[in-house]
Amino acid sequence: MRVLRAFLPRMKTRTLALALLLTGATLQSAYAITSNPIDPNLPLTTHASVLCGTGSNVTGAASASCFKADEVDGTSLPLQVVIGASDARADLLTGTLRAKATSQTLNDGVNLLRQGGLASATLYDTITILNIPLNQSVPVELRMTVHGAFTLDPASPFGAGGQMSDVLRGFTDQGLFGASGIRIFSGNAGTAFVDSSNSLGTGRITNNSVNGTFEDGADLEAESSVTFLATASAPTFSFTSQLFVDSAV
Amino acid sequence: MDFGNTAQLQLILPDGVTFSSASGEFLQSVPEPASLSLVAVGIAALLLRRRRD
Repeated sequence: MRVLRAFLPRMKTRTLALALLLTGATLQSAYAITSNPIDPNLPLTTHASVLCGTGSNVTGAASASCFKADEVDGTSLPLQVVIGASDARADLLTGTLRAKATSQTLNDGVNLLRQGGLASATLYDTITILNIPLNQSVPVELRMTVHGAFTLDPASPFGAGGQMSDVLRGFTDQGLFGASGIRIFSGNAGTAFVDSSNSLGTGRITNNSVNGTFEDGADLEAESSVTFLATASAPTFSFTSQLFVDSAV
Repeated sequence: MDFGNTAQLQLILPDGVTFSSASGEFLQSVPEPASLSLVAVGIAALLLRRRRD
């Protein structure tokens, strides 16, 4: 009993010291982000930002959404009006983003009315991985699955075109550890293709593997991901994810 | 001309490993009403069975 009494306080002290040591090590290694990666002028508590057409950015702590119809009035012409519509949403709670842009062109052979659309949605957050076994590292994958659809005008003399892109980035205070995404571009030739010079990482895409193009009206599926190796002493990383669409005329 | 896309983020972790986010919101969505209804039906069935027993 005497031995037990003598040993117990020492055990408590040692356990407490070990716990403090581990906590201290974790706190030292968990980096604190210093500026908002969406926009350095935004507070760190703003995690979502969207933009629609000619409007201003709309931001929120965990979600944001916007819709804008930009109208061109042609009442002095036989043509009446065209509308370019833009729609964007970003939501941390469900981890979803949406961006849609629609353009419209009217042409009677003499007069022309046209209006484009533009939409962007961005999320960011800082993730800390928990329950990592001591002296081990665990791979953590952040994956972004994109479903898209587009309808193109036939080749036109108006220079109609558009683009859609998705980008996923992972970083720590040591800098960028991963980036992945694709950009799909359509010029006025009436075909859409993957712009490989502006595509990052290894996205899985559903375009024609031979010529790289998408059929008009085809559905698009793309997958982008970044992988973080988390350890008990370095369990934290941040990410940004963005969707962007631009339907120009 | 339409261009539209949606994206779903997913965090893939090994078994037993969890995460927290600075926002406290990331991927914390509550079950949809339809899922909640199914849970309620399940609980009701269990209670009914217990009463019968």
